[in-house]
Amino acid sequence: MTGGARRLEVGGRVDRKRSIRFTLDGRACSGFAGDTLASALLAQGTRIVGRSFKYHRPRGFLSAGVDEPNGLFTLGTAGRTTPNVPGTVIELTAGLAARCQNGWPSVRFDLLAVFSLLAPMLGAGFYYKTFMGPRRGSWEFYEPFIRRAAGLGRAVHQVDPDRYETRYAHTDVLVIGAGAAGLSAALAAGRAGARVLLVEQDFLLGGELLSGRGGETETWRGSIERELAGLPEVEVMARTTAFGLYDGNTVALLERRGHAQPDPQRGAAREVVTTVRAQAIVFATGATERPLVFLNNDLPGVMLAGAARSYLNRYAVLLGNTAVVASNNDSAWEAAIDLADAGSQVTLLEERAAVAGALQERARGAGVRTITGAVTRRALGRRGVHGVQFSVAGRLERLSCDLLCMSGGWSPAVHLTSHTGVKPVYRADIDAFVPGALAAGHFGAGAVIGACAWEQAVVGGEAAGIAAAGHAGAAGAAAVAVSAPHAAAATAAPVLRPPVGKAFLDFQNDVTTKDLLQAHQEGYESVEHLKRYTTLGMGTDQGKTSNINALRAMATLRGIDTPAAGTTTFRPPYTPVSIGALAGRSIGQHFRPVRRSPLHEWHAENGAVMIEAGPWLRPWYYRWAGQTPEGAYVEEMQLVRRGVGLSDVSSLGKIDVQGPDAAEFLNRLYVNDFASLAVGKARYGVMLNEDATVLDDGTSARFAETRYFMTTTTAQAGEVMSHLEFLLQTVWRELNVKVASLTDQWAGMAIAGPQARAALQLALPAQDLSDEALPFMGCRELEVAGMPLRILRLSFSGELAFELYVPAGYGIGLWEHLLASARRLGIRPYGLESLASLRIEKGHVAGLELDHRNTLDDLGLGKMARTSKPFIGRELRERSELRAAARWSLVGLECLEPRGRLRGGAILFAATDPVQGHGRGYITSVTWSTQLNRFIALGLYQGGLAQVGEEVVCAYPLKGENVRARIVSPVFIDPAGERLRV
Amino acid sequence: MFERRSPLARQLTGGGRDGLDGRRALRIGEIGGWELAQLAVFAGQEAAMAAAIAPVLGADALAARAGHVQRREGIGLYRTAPDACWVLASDPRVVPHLLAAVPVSAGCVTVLTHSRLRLLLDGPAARTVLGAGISVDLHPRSFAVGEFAQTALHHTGVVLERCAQDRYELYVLRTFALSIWEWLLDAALPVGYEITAPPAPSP
Repeated sequence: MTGGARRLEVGGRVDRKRSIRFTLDGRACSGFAGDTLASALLAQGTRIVGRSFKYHRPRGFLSAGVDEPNGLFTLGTAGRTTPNVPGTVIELTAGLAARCQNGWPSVRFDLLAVFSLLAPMLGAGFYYKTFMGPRRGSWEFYEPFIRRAAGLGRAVHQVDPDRYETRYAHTDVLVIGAGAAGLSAALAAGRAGARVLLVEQDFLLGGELLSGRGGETETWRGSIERELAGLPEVEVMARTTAFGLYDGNTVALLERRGHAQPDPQRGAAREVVTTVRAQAIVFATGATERPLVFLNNDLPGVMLAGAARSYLNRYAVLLGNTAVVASNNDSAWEAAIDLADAGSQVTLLEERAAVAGALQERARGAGVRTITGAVTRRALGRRGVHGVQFSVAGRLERLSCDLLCMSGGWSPAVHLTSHTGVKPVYRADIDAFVPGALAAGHFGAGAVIGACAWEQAVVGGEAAGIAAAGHAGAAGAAAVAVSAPHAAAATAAPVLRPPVGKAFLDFQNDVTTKDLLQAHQEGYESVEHLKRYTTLGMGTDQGKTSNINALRAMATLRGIDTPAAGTTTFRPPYTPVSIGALAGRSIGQHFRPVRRSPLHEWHAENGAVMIEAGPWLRPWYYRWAGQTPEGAYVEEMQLVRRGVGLSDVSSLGKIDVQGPDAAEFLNRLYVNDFASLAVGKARYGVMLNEDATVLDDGTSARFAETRYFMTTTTAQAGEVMSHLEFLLQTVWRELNVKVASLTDQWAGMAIAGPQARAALQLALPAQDLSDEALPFMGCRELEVAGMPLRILRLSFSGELAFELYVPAGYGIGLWEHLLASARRLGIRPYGLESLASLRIEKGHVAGLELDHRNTLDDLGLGKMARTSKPFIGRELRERSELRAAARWSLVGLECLEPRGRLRGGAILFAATDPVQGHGRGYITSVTWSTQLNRFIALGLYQGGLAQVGEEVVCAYPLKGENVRARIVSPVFIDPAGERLRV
Repeated sequence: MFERRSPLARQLTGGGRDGLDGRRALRIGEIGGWELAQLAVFAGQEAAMAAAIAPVLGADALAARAGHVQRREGIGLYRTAPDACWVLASDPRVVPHLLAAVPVSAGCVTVLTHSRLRLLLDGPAARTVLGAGISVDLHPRSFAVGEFAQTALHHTGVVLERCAQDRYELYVLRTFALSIWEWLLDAALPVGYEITAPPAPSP
């Protein structure tokens, strides 16, 4: 089995005994284990694998790695569809289903190639200039058509059934890249005793070594890999890309496990994002080969020389019988020699006039014909290369070929080192940008710092590994030197050339030298402007092969040096990352944690319909009262107004306040007086932010001289706790007070209604619960059946009521005891909807009114403030703007239309106002009043209670409703509070 | 006495799931039989507090270092703040004694027994599962046996203690306990887990 017409009988790293079947556009294909999709297709002789972004020109593979701009595929089907994956990094697995992109009906015969005929009109800035008219907003009309005709693959809207995970990791030394430098660094650091994490984006370790012909380097690679595997503190992650570097030596990794065909039902993840925190980082990220810029350099069959060598030596795919290698540096000579040794007839066009004699000797020995001083001008062919035109000694010549390799030098992969804002710096000796000043704990090795020769990489990697281990504090056994066999130098000495005619700089975005020239002529000279005007360097490859050629060309046009032109900004991710991988398991029920009351289980089993309230899951209403919330809450309100109900209030914030200065602390915190609060009494209090807006309200009960039990609203519990800690730790450090959150410690329940005392008495027959023994706003600590119980007599509903608090684990026990004891009184549970409605009837403000924009006076609570004492917010409260009579302040609203309904958020207008704009206020809370038999509401209205009696229009534009209402007092029932004091 | 219920009562039924390799590399469950109180000391009152609690917690109770659990017979001390520590006791008499012993001038005691659930994660995969959500370095060099960390898991504050090489205890807020539990089981899916039931007694 050869695995394809272009597959060699021997050699490479593929396993010829393991044939792997896959499909391309539904057509059955096969390759070998160890292949990439690209190598398998190339082995079959497939040349055209895509169509270009804009002109729909036929394209073949340019590279053999993550820098591939042309050969992008859509993988998978249905919800597993992943578009825009370079075939050069897709590890071939059985059942792989790949589709070509951007060609219709196929990439081999693409009707949209008609756009090539329009090429003269489609230059840089074409869209910006053409599709902006004839009127504003026209772009939105054109955009769908343009996107359909041009572009990349398409995502699907189906649910992805795969599992993605995120995790954390820590290490002493993170080594990024497992080429010669990375392997050497990891081993040196590991031998020094450091915890080492070595990550490699390929599925094999070795980097460029894998593309070589083996021999001594392969022996070395194998021995290093084996030793690394034996070091207990060294972890190696293949198929893992370090895609972002962040502050604090934090690196984001994407690990791909798709090759294992993971089963999500069994917990196998397709991709995993790891957040690594490292003491030190060795960047051994290698370099990317640059194309040469000549006419038709995008023809299928034109390929980077290093890629052709990789396909030959790693995958045993000989891509041409007659090859031309166009070069300006030594590395391409290795490709030429290897191709010739494999049987190709090779001609090497070398731009340089002189090349080292030893290299020439080796080439000659391999049968490579070399022509120095030869500048490649044009690739010949239409759907694939069949020749090349070049100039030498002032004349144009032609050669026939079926493979045209090119190498314009190497660009170090400086992306990661640049992510934190460190600009790369230009090194003239290698004509490339290398990482700028590395931060403490960052080290570079190998091609990324310009040390391209294998020996340099090994020695440099070792030094970096030792230094990184030392930085991380690893002081184990002295590192053992890594021996490095001699290897031929491969440094580049590229020749700068100005742009020539219409040749491609950015293959993925169809940016040519002509576009660059146009951008220059129109003033888009800065590399950042150039990028955005021409789209150069955008897309999935982010210009890995194009950026340096482009900015050198722009520098030439501007008459400045290459470093003066600079580079664009490198941002994460280095290579594309799926959204699923970033989300990890933060989906569905794991998207965020749900907070459940200690009574939750009872609610769930006894007919409660639950509703999310912030992080809490609370009983909305109970099915005993009705099947719909609209019907049920009214029933539950009636229960409380006429009998007795029981409600879960465990979500209220609860804070333990203790200390000799606790009274003083609360007195400074609340606007009202707490210094005089007696033991055994509770008091309603309001606390302000420093800007005098209301922070929260609640009650604090004094259970002992130095011990208080504070409750807050559900919504503000965390904020109030932080507020208290901040004040005690920074503002009032002299106060001997400690606070602790008790929200999770105590279950809370309110028993409310005219029969509340009777019901509670049935449950606690030994207690004196009379008005004399436990008056309104009284509190008491009991022990019932060995269990602590706190009772506060206060009311949110406006009826006689008690709040009961018990350690959370006993919550259901007490709840059930109360229901059972008072069954003959008709006690039943009531939910959040009725709880909120009851408080509206009573005129109590709650979260909807306490939105950090309203002052004490806005909420009608100004009289509570004790101005004779200091409290947070007292001074700013006196600002004239905050005391203005025209401020929007709390009012009640009664619906005047029998069939109309009021709605939360409705905008309030005076009856004589036109219904437009922001109005004079808005409705905050609405309910149907069982007491008044109409919709009532709380709201904020300009002038507040000074407008009582005024008729207003409640506008709700979303439903086109304008309903008449009258401004009234916000206290709709029992304004004297008689029901509370029985 | 009312029945004391765990929010995980319905989950702690035993059973489990095999991991990808067919094994169950994590034992997970709830630990019962303990009391928890927070002891806080007022500035300048350390000596008075130390003297007051010495009969209950020992003479050097306030010397507990941050991040290191100070253990003695049936009691664990966790320094959670410069001026506060957790007192975890398997003996139900300890917290009442503490409440009686601490003078209001020196500091205060807040009982928190019902505020947390104490979860057990035991087995070779415990570190892997925790590493899916906790950003603390759990390598034995950084997080040794007997150390604890106040950190976050699934957006909530938790306290994690390493009790043995492969055994951790996790203190989670009661109201978030079910969400955390569900999250942990999901994270443990690839490695497999066995649920202990009923709650294990406090070691």
